[in-house]
Amino acid sequence: MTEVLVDARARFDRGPFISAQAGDAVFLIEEATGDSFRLDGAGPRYWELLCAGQELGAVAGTVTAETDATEDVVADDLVAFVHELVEIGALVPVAGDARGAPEGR
Amino acid sequence: MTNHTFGVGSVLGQIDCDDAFDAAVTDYLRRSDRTTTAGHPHIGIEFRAQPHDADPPGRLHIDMGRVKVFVDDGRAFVLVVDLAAGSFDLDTCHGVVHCADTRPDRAWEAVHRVIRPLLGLGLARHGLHALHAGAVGLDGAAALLIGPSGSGKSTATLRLTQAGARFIADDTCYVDSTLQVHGLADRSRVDPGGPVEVSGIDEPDGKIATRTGRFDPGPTPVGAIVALREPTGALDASSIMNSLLRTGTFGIDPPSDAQRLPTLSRLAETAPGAAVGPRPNSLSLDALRSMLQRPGGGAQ
Repeated sequence: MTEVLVDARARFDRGPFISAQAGDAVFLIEEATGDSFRLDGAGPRYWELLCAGQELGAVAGTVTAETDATEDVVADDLVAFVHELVEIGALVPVAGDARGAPEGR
Repeated sequence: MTNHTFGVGSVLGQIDCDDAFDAAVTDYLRRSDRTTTAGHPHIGIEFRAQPHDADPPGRLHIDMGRVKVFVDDGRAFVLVVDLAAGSFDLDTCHGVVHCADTRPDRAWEAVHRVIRPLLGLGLARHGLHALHAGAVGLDGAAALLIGPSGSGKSTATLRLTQAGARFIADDTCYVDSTLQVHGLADRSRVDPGGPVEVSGIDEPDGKIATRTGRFDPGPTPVGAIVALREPTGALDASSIMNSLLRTGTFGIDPPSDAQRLPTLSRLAETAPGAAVGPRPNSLSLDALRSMLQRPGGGAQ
C-alpha cells in the first residue's frame, strides 16, 4: 500500500461511500456498514480534488498554492490522509497508477 | 385477518393482524393517531401468531439488546429474541411478522418492539428519516432535543411541554427533505383527541415518558437543534452534523441513506444549534424561544 501512496501520479476512485458537507467538514458514510467518518482541516479539499480525478502530486501542488504551508508539509499530510482513506476503502487506487515517488519529495 | 391503518406525516401504514394479534394491535391503535387519507403511500406489516424458528439471514445492522435488525438482499429481518421474528421488503415496504407467544402482554411486546424498526425502514423509503431526538413546537417552529440515551431528552420534553410548548416527540421524530419534523402518536403517550394535559409516566425500563393531549404531529419546520449534556455554547454546523449522525443508524438501506445524509447536512447547515451544558432540565421556555429560528424570520 505504501508504494501506492508515494506515487505522485497516483489517482484514486471514490469507494462505496456517500458524502455530505456540513460547515467546514465533510462527512463520509460507508454504504455497507453505515460507519461515519469526518474530514476536517485540509481533508475536505483533498477529498474534493482527489475525487475530481487529480493526481496526488497535483493535489499537493494545488493545496500548497492555496495555503501558507510548505510543499513538504502538505505532501506529508496528504500522504497520511490518503493512506487512511485507502485503508477504510473510501479511496481506491486507480490500477496502473502506483509507480515511483512523489514530485519534490 | 383484521386491517388497521396508522399515520405519520403524509405517509400511512397498514397493519394486518390475524385474530390472535387483533386485540393487541387494536389497543395500540386506540392510543395512536389514526388519521387516514386515501392515495398516500403505504407501509404494510402483517402480524401472524406463528412461531418462526429460522435464524435471520444477512448482516446484523441494529442490535438493541433483544431487538436485532438484519439486512440481506433488499430485505430486512427483525428479531425479538425469544418472542418474534419477521421480514420486511425494502422495495415494497411490506412485511410479515411471526410471534410465537400470543399471550396479550407478549403479543403487545411483539407489536411494540417490531413496529418501531419496521416503521422506521418504511418511512425512510418515503423520505421521512428517523432521528433519536425529542422535539417540541413553539411559535410555529420546532426545537429538536438531541443527545444519547439518558441525556434527558424525555425529561426536557416533558418539562417544556408542561411549560406550554407543543409536544411532538420525546424519543423519536421524523424529518423530511424540506426540514420539517413529524411526530408519531405513539403508544399510551399521546391522545390527539384528548384533553390538553401533561404528565410524566414511568416506563417499564425505568425511563420517563410524556403523556399529553398537547400533541402536534406537524409537519413543523425545524427552528433549532439543542444538544443535551454537551458543554454550553453555540454549535457550528459540523458539530451539529456529528451529533445528528449519532441519532440514527446508517447502512441498512443505501437508497434511504442517500436521501438521509443530505437532509441531515442541510439541517445542520440551516438550523441554529446550541448546547445547554450538563443540566438540560434547566432549559426554559424563554431560553428556547430565544434560540428558535422561525419560518420567514430570524431568532427572537
